[in-house]
Amino acid sequence: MKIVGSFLGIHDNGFSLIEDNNILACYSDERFSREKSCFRQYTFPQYSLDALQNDFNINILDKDIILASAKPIRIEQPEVVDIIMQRTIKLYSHQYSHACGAYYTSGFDEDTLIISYDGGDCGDDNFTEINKDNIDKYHPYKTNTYSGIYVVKDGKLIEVGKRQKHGSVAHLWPVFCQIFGLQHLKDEGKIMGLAAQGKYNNKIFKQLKYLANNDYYGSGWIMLYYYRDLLETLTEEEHWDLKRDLAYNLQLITELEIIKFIDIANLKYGKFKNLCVAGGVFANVKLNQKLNEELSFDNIWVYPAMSDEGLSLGSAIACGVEMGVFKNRRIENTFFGKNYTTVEINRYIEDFECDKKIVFQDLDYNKISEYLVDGKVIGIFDGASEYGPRALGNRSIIVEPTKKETHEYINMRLKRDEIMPFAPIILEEYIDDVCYYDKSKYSSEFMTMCYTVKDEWINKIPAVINTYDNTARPQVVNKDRHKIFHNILSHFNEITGVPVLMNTSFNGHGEPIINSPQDALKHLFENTIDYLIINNKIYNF
Amino acid sequence: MNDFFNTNFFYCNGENSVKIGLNDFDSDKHYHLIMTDDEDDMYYAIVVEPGFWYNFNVNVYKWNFKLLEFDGDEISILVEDKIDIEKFNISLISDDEEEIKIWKYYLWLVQVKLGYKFDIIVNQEFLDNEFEEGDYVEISRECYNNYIKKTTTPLRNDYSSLTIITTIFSVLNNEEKDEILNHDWLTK
Repeated sequence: MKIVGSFLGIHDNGFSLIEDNNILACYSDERFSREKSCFRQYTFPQYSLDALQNDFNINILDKDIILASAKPIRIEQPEVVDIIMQRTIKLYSHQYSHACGAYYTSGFDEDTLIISYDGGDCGDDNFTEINKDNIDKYHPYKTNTYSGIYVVKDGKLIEVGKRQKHGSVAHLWPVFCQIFGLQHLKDEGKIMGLAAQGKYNNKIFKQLKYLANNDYYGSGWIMLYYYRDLLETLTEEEHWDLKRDLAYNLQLITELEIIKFIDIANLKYGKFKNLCVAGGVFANVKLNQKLNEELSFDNIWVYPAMSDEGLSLGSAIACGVEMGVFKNRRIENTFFGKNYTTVEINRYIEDFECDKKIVFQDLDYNKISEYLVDGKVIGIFDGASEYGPRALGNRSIIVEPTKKETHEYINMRLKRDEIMPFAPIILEEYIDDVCYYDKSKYSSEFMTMCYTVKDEWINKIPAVINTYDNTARPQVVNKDRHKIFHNILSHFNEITGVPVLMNTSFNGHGEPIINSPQDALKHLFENTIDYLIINNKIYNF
Repeated sequence: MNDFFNTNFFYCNGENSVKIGLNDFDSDKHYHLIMTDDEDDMYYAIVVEPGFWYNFNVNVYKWNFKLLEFDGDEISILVEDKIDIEKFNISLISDDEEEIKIWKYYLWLVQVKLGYKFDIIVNQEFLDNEFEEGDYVEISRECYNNYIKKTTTPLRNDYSSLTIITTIFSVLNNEEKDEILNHDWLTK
């Protein structure tokens, strides 16, 4: 049974394909369009649909394929209407789709609480499917739910609670993005990074607390003009002091409110061993660290495609569970994106037009380690791209982590302006040496959680540590699941005694993570990277 | 008397939409409007800025309003009230007799032309509808021009009556406002 899941909403649209119990592909449209989802809103994900149909030789109009979608579904888009007039699409609520993505990829048993929490959904609760006979009655913007609370019974998720009133703490983040002059759905991580440099400010915290206590999250916009105007009147030093304090108190209220919400749910619905979370707020790795440290769960699983990007798979899984074909399992990786054959990659390389001569050598991990020690920037393009916001080894850039100035250097090379420190990859065999690390270990393979770094490592790997709070957001590298990363790290460790490298997503400023070999070659040509590992070879100009 | 009017919080409403604007605006403060339905469920929240009206498409008739005020220090509720939009309420606060005259006549005209009934409220007082269908009220071109001239810049409040009138037309959405504003009577 083939099920095509989709998200045809406002942002992060895309398509996923599962067959029986297997996840075959999850394509996010931004990777093909090359425009971040925050800039490409309200568009039909035509690129990802075309790629999915082409790569798997399917046509979603064929009756042997079941179509599923997470709400909201934008029926004002002609492409959506065109599908609906020919096929029935099974609809699943936004929060339920998040929750299915989280639980059914966790491998956890039924002693699990599942929480979805984000900026909200919409869609008509009365509709479980949409087709040409009922499309005129569907109300795409009816009801808003900001969170779902689920438990598991006989393998099925049961909704036991939801948050449906006046917004969510997630609504404060776009306000602060605007105050800071940043882009919503793209730059929230910068505010989170800055938060570590701020301090408690009673006035700001009381304002946020008032909104939270009275459930007026959506009214956070009342703060916009005051703080934006105030920032303009301050000296450079005062300006940044206020920004840091705003960030700190926003992060604090977010952590307090989400922890309270989950804690109450856990107490109310039974004390659970495991927690699964999904929804945009859980892109906040500092929040996830607090959940891991403060709450009583033995294990926390953060759905790696936690934002709305994860809804296409979530809806496909929801449908697969309903049909009785999809079972809970622990996913090994997130490499469900676009893949390229060796022949295709070679063709891209042959056809790449530039005025420099491209040379290559066979992949040699000793050579790679030497380049890294020498401070070279290395891009990796391997297999299918990652599903979700983190580059986990198949579309990654790696650099040695031992110099503090590397942060600035990489920002310069990649033409970025990251505030948040870059993340480390750490050999699984050494993670206990480097970090305080005792729970939720599997989540750490997906770079969804921060950990506190042990004192003796802080000065050894300053490029990948937030030195204001001594935390890092590691990807723990397992030798069976991440072979290239593991080999590179092992060789680098042999030479340097450091089982750690810096890993950042393979993309330039403002771009989504690269998708095709052509994107990778372009970065090599433009000197963003010094070497490119692709197809078991090392390329450079 | 509705608390909204006591705080100069203007609203007018139509069958499928509600428009909100803030009349008495303190430029040192910031305002935010929250609207929920009768079950405290459906939800709109929007920054209220001077010079703008806010349109909310709704499919329920009873609404809870909360207007938050922020002075840079504390956030607090300025107004909390309920309205039932099955009934139209249109309010004006003005000490300008000419403006009030135009206002009343506009509303009467809209009532006659569109068949809607309004509560006409001027300076927080409900007024009896003094016109009947077929009545003719003379408003000179000079009077109208003065009125328009005044309203090209905001009156002492942040909302011009013209804005309110045109808002009524767009709310009711059954007539082109230009057609009504350019009606013969204006040129008399």
